[in-house]
Amino acid sequence: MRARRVGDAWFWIENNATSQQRLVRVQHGQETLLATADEIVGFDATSDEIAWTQRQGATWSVRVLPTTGSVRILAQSTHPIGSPCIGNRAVFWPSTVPGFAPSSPIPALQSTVHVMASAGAGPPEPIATLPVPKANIAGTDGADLYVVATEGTGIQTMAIYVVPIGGGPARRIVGDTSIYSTAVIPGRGVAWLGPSAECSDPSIAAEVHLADAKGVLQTLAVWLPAPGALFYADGKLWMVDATPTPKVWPADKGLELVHPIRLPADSQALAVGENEVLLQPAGAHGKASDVFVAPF
Amino acid sequence: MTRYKSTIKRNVDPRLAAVLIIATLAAVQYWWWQGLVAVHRIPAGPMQPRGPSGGGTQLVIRGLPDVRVDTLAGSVAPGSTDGPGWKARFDGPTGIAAYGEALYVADARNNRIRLVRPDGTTTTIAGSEAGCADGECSKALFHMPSGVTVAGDGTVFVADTLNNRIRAIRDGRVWTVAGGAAGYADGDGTSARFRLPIAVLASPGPGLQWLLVADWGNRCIRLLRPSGTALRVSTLARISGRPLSVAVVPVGAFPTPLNLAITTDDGVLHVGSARLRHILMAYDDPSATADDLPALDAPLALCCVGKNLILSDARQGAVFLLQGARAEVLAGLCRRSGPMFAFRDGDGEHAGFGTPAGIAADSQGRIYVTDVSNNAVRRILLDGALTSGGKDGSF
Repeated sequence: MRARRVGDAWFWIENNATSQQRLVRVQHGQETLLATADEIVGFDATSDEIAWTQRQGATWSVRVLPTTGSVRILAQSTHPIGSPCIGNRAVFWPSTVPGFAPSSPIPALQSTVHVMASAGAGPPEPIATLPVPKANIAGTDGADLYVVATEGTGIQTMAIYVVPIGGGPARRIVGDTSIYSTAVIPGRGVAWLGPSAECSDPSIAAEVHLADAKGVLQTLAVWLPAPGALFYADGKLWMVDATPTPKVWPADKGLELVHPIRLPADSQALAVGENEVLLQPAGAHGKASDVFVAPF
Repeated sequence: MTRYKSTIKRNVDPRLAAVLIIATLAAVQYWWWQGLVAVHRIPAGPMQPRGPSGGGTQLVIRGLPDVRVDTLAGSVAPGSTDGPGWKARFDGPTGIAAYGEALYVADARNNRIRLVRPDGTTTTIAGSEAGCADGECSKALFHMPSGVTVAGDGTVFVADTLNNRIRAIRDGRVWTVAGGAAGYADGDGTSARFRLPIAVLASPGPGLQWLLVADWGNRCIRLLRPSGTALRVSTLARISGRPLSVAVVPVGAFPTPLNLAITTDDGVLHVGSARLRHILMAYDDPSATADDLPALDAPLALCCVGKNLILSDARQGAVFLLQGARAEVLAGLCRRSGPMFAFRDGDGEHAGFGTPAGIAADSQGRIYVTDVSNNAVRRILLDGALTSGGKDGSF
């Protein structure tokens, strides 16, 4: 996750002048620096704590900072670690286990991913091993953890796995033809933005699908402009398109046509939260730019 | 001529001749024992003739006109659904073998062995979640199976890669024929040890005469022969790269009968006779330019159709036909036009593969390819270009 609203604070990852990255919190116009590293891989935050993964040189680490307290390192590795996720009173993260020949197209020789969990003061433990070279955690929902995996060399496909937090084998519930934006809807499952099944050019139109933990699928929205990204905020699922005239689309209205909310032209959405969108100028990704919010 | 012979007779010391003969025999025995096979490297970029005889044959790359590629089963999205071809889903299909009209596929990430009918209908014959268990097919477990082959009696043999075992399937049951913990050891059945077996090949013909295993982790080719009720494992050849697949080439692809071809992960195609004595070299076409020369820089899978060797290239996503030292593009170069063409059916030059990881041919000469990154089983139809059948192999 690159930006997120939690309570009345915005968190985001930004580049600084020394080509390092910073994790910051902005609250009531006040910016607080939380971490600086060669790379901030991703973060998750609640009202109680923030967890992030950073890379310094060739070492990845998962760190957590409670609202009151100091930074604690949960794990360190010389192999890539993905963005963490907070849920069910634990922190989860994907950790790469190097394969025998990671660049080989033969699946048995490729890297795999351990889904790690850290709860309380004990050492982190793997709760699942996924037969995929790369994965990110989409979020938790009750006793389940949704993990979005990337498969394939060259052409990449997406598979969504559900991992029982209490133990048990991980199950792949969804496979799709490319890598898409996902969001967990509490109590319902994981939603993802996929290519339109009805448009002759799938690159310009998208659909939103939902899968529950048993793999039961339903379509939440059709004929949305592509590309875009999904966000879950204020108990609702939103899709923000990345066209030159971006709009916020309610993304869980079933198959009815919806009215979007216009955003300033030539802007790009970073995150959605509490009836406002965090924006930056289009094409400014990775460059110095203003960040602003637009209500909707 | 008479003078020449008499000169030799006069000048050769019989004791020296005897020493030379013994030394020659010892050298032959050494090569035999080492199991050295030919290195048939086909490098990227413009190619130059190489080899001891300095030329004669050339690697000529050209396309075949009447080739069509279609998708028999599966699609890009990963899954494990059984059903008709358009509905069936795979996740990392790797090894493939043809038996009669049936195709067997090692569906690696699904930890399953799948059966694909000629109409594309796909069923799971064994496996479910990752694990290691023998018994009824419905309860048997595999861990990333990568290779599959079928013996003449219909027994399906599986290179169960992460279990370091060779498994067999017949009459609804799965059992381990060789291997156990990871390691290296020759011997009978489960006392033998493998390290990441990747590919497996059964002898042609009615009974199981031998089984070849590409033992990737041990960098060698293992030979399994029936010995009583078990299979006895020995080491056939150790090679510099790590073997990815094996094929026995009956006659004609190379000038000695009954060749053995092995691809390795360092981009080398090893070719030797069945006895692994003869060193064969292939020569590249120096007149070809980089643009029209599809360098076989990552040979991944092999199979033999009649006198021809079919070979896939992982990096280019293309399938080639090797006749002697001449390579012809069967299909797949369309991927060069960009990643969006990496999954495309059509005639050979307009077809695209993601990563062709396994190749098999049926008795009609139709070629089947597991496209591991597209999670599909693709079919290459040739307009009578290849013949089927060939001499049975023996070791």
